[in-house]
Amino acid sequence: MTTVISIENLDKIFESRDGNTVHALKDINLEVEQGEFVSLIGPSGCGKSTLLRLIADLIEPTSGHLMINGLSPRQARLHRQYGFIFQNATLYEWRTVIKNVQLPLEVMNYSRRERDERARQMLELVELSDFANHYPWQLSGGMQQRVSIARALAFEPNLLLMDEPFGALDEMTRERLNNELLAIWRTISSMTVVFVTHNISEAVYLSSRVVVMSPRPGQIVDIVDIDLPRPRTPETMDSDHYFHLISQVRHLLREAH
Amino acid sequence: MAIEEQALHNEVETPSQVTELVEKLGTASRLPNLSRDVAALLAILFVVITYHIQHPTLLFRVQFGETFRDVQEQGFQEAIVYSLIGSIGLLIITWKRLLPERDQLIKVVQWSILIMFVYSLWQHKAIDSITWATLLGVLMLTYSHRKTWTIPALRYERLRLALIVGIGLYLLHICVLILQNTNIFVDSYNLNLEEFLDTLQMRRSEAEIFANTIKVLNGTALLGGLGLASIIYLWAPWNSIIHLRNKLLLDWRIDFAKDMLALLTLVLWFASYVLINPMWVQESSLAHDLDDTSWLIALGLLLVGGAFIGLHLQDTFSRSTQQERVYQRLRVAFAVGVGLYILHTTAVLLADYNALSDYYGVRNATIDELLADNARATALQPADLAAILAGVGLASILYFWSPWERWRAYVDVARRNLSAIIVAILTIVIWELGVDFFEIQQFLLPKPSAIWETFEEIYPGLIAGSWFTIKNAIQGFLVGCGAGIVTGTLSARFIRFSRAVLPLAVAANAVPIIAFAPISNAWFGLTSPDSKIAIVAVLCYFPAMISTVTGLTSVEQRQLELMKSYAASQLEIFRYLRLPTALPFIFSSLKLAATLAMIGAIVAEFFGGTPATALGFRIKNDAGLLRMTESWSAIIVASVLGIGFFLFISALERNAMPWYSSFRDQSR
Repeated sequence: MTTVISIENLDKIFESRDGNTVHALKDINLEVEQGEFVSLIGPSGCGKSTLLRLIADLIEPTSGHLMINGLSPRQARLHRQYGFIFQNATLYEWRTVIKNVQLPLEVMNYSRRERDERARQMLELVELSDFANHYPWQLSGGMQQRVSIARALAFEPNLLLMDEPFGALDEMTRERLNNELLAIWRTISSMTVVFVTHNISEAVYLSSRVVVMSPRPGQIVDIVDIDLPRPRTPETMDSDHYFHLISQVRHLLREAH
Repeated sequence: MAIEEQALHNEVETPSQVTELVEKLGTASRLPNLSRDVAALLAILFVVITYHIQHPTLLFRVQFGETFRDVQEQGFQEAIVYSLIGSIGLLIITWKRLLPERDQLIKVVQWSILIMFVYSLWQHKAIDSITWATLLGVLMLTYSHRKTWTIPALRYERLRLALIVGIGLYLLHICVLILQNTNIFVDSYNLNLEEFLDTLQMRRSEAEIFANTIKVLNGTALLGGLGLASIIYLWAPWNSIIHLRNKLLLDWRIDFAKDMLALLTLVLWFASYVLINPMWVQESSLAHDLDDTSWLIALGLLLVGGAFIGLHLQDTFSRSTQQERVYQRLRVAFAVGVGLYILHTTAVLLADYNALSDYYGVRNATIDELLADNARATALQPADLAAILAGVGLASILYFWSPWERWRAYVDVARRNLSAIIVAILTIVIWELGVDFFEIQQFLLPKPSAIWETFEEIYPGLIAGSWFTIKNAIQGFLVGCGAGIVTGTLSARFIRFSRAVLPLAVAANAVPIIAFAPISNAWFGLTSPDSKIAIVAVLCYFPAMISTVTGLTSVEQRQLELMKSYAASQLEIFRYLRLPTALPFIFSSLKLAATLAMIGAIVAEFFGGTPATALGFRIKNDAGLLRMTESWSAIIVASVLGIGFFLFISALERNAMPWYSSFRDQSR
């Protein structure tokens, strides 16, 4: 097993313009192995999104060490090591669905043929082939999020960073997308996922490990190993162990608060 | 856009997909897109103008100049070339499914503009080169995000190709006329243009009757062209050829019978056309015993033509996919076209009633009398052939346009604008009655009816004169907006540049344009159009620049982060994210600038240095001489041109951003 993400003593302090400081993350230590599905969970303001954005090099840490595949976050970003999925789908409304999926490939100078081929493959993976030439506004919220997943996977990164991707969706759609995400994760072997959520059952259902965080300053309270058998199906949700794990995470969250 | 059409555009084929789409769109109807109608009307206008220009007698009447050579000297040749380029460009731009190869066509257009740009640079023509560069920029802006489309059913596609050929034939004729200075038809009769005009010389008293005669003849020719084109389109011989080649001879007897019937209809079209057009009667051998054969031919045309229409329509209503239905309606329209021609012909030949000469109040005897001079009849024959060709062109454009597919959009537009229409009508009525009621004098405010009368009299001169104004407005618009977009882009990127340029831009915007006009005249020379172009450019610059800056900087943070996560360079971010985000802002400023450009061009002419026909000059001059109705007529032309320019930019906008929210929702 190789380490994909290693974080040591990471601190992040935001400074606002009027001199106030917010200690967003304090002393974070975390290692993520290849092929893992790790969820970051915590109440809002616990810095889980900040942590994800630090990994993605969208912001820079105040102090501490952060390595991705043995590279600094910046190098990892420049080498296009990860795909990022936002809470809202952030599709470009002037592009059709297939063109949206092709966007990263265009930026990365893939040939036209390869772009087309890969985008079609990805759309097949998220079962949206019929909507290739639709515009984003013609799709429902869940479908839009599936397009954004296809887009993030198009250039085959081995690390997928997801920032509350299903947070804005209704419960039914969320459940369906959870299953689809697991299916995709199974197909692409050795893909690592870091998943930010505030939904306990979602985190337990999807993950191999759940990182529980507390707010002000953001710290890791505990890391819960989820030893539910795979593949996980809707039946998994009926098992006692599943409920047990959920209540364990819930207790940790309550303590931390 | 109607849901049906939407379905067509989105390559939705299965019924379930259509239902889904309908559900998706729900009751929220979309803003009807009338750019196709605008394009079609412009194309028709183009045919009408060019037709008048290539027709010696009409040329005389509409005061474009007395000969084609005069026309050239007035810069009208240039006008035609530009309108030609414009019309073709608009056809390509607005009709999405015109050709499967539209991409390549646009590329060809872009390359030719690039060549023109380099050429203008080579010739040290600054304004021209900026104009071309901006045009290129606008095209690239517009077509950086193209929709994909499917290749529709083959038969339908072939038909559309034929329609394009029909338009193309007419365009070819006009191109040869303008570029080679040869009228193919006149040449084929070995006529010399000068002699030609001598032959047509006449006394003033005769002129009016003669003009009406010509109109009857031309009307006949146009109708003949419509009939001819409709017969060929309905027949669609290329289908038979392709069937033959593919050995699809399952029911070859019926195919053969259809072809024979079509050929027979064509022959009868020929014979009847010669008979109903007095000009040709004299030449043809049919003429000697006209009375014996005419009813036979008319009856034959009625019967054979009827059978032809029936046979070709019989299988029309069998299948009913979206595509097929459009195709079927098109064929019905062809049938109506043939029918119209047959109706007219039989009325002339059997009932001795000519609707056209009735309309113009010309007796048949007068026509015969005027054409008794054989030289005169021969001289008019090339014009008649050209009229037939124009008829074919017009028919093709009309079929291509297919307004019957779009009545739903018209109803929609009318319903939306009902209040505006009522207010407009009320205003005119109150104006008309109020002038009488309050006894307002003519020179203060003429009645709309009086303005209309004057307008009808002098409009050819106004249109001819407006070219100078339009050209300045368009060039100034392109230069000003081009500069605005470029500096706006730089300002958005480099803060320091923005700090340097923005005050200047604000200052330029604050200068009253009237104050600037005399100075500009001094700078660029009173008679040079450059001085007018400069004024328009200054007027257009500010809105273009400000909205470019706003557009480029109003990018959403998340979308920027997405690009960052792809490690995109600044240039890539600009191309993939900032530019598309800015497009709506830029286009709304372009729409604003389009109307400003017309205003600027007209105001600039108030300060002299223009040809006496120029629109702004006429408005000022006629008002000064208390010729108020003339002045108002010029104002009408100016505002119509302004509206046209605005609509053109709107059409481009729709094309550039079919995804934009105000084009898909009700904008209320």
